[in-house]
Amino acid sequence: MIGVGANGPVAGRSEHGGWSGFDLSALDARTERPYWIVLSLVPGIGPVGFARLLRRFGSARAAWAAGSALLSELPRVPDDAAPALARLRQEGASAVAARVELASRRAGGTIITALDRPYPPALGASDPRPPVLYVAGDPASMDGLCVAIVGTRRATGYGRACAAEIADELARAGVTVVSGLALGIDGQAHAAAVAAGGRSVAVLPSPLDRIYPPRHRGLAARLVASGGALVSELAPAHAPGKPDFARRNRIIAGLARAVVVIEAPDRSGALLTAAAAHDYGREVFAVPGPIDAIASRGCNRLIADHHATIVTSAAGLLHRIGAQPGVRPVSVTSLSDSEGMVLNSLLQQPGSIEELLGRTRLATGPLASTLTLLEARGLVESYGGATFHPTLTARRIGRPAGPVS
Amino acid sequence: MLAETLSASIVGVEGLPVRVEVDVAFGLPALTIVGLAGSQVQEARERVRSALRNSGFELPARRITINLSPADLPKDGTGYDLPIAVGILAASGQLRSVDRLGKTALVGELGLDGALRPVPGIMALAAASHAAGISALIVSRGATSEAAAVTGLRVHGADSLGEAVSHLAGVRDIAVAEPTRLPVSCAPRRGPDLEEVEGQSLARRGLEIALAGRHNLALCGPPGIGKTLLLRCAAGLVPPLEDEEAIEVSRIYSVAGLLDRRAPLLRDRPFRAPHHTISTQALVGGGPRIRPGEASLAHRGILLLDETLQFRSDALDALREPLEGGSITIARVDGALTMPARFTLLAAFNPCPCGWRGAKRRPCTCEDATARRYAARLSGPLRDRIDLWVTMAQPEPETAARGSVVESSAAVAGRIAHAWRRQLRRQGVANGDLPAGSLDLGRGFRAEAEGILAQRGRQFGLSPRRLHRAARVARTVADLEGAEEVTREHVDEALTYRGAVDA
Repeated sequence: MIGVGANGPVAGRSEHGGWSGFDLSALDARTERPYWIVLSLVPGIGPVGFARLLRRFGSARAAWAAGSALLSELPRVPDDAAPALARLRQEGASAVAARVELASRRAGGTIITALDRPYPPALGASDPRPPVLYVAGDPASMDGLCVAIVGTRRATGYGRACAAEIADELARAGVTVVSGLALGIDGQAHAAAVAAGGRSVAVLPSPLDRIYPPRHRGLAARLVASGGALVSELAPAHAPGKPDFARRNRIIAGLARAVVVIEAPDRSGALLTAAAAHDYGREVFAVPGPIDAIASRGCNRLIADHHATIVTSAAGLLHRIGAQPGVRPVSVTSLSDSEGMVLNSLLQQPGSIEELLGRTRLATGPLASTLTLLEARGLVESYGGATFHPTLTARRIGRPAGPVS
Repeated sequence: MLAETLSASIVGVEGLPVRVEVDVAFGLPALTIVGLAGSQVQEARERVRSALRNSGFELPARRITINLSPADLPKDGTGYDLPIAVGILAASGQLRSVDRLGKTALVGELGLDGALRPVPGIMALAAASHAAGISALIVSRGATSEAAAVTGLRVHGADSLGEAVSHLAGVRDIAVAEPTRLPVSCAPRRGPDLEEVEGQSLARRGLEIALAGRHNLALCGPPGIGKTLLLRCAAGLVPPLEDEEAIEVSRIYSVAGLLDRRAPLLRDRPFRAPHHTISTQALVGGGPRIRPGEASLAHRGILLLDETLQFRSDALDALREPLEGGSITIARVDGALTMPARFTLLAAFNPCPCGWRGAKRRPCTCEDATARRYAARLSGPLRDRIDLWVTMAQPEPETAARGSVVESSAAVAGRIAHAWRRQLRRQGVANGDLPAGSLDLGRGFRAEAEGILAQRGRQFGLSPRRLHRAARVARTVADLEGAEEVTREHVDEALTYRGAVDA
């Protein structure tokens, strides 16, 4: 599937219960809306089940009118589906919808069904697609070119540096960076995109009113404030329970034109996102790592098995997805001899203080002092570990800009 | 008849003068001890009874009442045997000359045969007696050098009750013991040598700065990387105790019963490394009879907490007070007691329970939540009190092979001693002991350095408290270099050890 453009659903998927062959434009968004919302709340009615119901009954309203009979149309019905449906029916579709709408507004979001105009086009071209999305922030941020950056929560300094660099480059090129707000790579990518003045969309594994992980609440607020969005498939105040990572990963893959796996060990959730991207026909990229690095094993395998295109540079990635590199303000920085020596050494290869001591022949104290200065100037970053990496800014200074293949 | 002898009691790590009043009255024969005497003091009755008889004296068949004054102070220990026995002799007329009795404090445990034995805390008891204006002290011969460490007090060492009484009566004098001199400060270097530590230059440098300015240091890294070995080198890197410090520290060890009686004055700076299973009381002091804990035993020295996160969290939190104020206050129903505990904290721990989080070549097997909970065992307030943080990583094979410059302990200790003298000359205390807010950033702080500090605070998002700590560390970095003024380079190096703001 290498290099498949992702502008539409791949043909021949309808037998898996997709939407293909069903004409949504025949439905009236306003009359259908409450039934879409209430049906999506029934346990067991996911994107696939919802599509089945539409095909069988013709509309959500008709499906709702069928009562508990609709459950027999579903491929798998969980035990709590029937009682939940009975409770929802007792309350009434419009009352439930009004209640959920209110809860969404309280959580700072709106409800977007697949019938609505702001429904992300990339997701609308996915199959199957989530019937209802809860969105905080600007839904239009998902209209343009979106690229997902995913990876392990236990990121190394290398992974964080790569995530920051690629997110920065994408954001400056006007690409929306999509990720899952998780700790590690996800958070680094969101933060770098926002810091570069770009837009970023976080797909949550939890409802909008229960941001997960709680440590990234501040980051989530920054995303919204800078023109990005938070997206969830789960209704606020409706579904407590565990964060749903599998659904989240599928939406991430659906929203994006391409998925970049930065750093993933074996059995990482990021590999599931890559698999979902395959199903949706999105292009998958992976950043390689040293073959002895545990955190990069999944990435290296994706590349080795031809499930992903190798990323050799941020600029190369931009080129592959057809985006133009953004303009970067060039800051003139004057460096002393020792500062220049340390930075040059890091540009050749990131390293720990121990390694730099051997390379630069400086004493520990002056070397530590120089590194902190470079860090303060935004030229070096350690990402909380013992290894120092040059930042993108430093690379621009140290290396003439140009097309990278 | 009534008589009174002088003695002393231990309260925390201090001595307090106690008067032993003995009344021998007509009535049914009895021996009663009052004045909050604990069980060890109550048992003195039996020891004194036998000791008197076996020393050739007699216990009058009268009603004998003994009061230990101040009577509201709980008393324990066996040191009251001697003053009680002598008091009975004086009150019953067996010891007639009481001139010396009013000027001499008596401390010692009696054997049934009348032999005089040493008790713990002699140095503190002697100091308290001297401070109360008492000019002489009789202790067991084995404890004389400990007591004679208190200058200005005449110390007489007696082997038995009989000898002590002869001296008090003026029959046969006991010579005044030679004042104990401070041992010369050239003790052999303790602990491993820095030469044995491979690589880890940043951690070495962090340790050097921590010891030079008495700052608290934390090392975080995977198992087997040399954290413990490096920190154990600290014992051999710090200069010996100053004279006044030596007496202060020796007194604490005297109370804890940890002194070598032949060489009672300590010269080596304390180095305490309690095991992580230690109880809170053993760490900060306490117990039914309040005893100094490891934190007080590390006073003026080093407290190494290896595997810091394995310590009980209430024990760790109990260290907040001494880390901030240099002393520990133990509150009891009958009052609070303060013990000194001004130490340099050296902490070493793994980043997670399995130890391999963040390591490049070995996977961490811990759940994320488990690892976070583990790291959270070091509470925020405690983190705030740690000045230097160093993350240690396994060296790359090629770096280890190349071998960076490895200094010996002697070279580093020389720099530390030099920096130490500079600080004491300038401000009387070490940089790390400067109370919060008292560090005058204007003095020795170039305007440039001050500006840089504020700027870095914004760039790295540091709280004012952390900035202040960094300023003190920067001062130490400058002192290590022998620089009068703190420059931009010193500030930047200090900030290298600032640690992650958000883990």
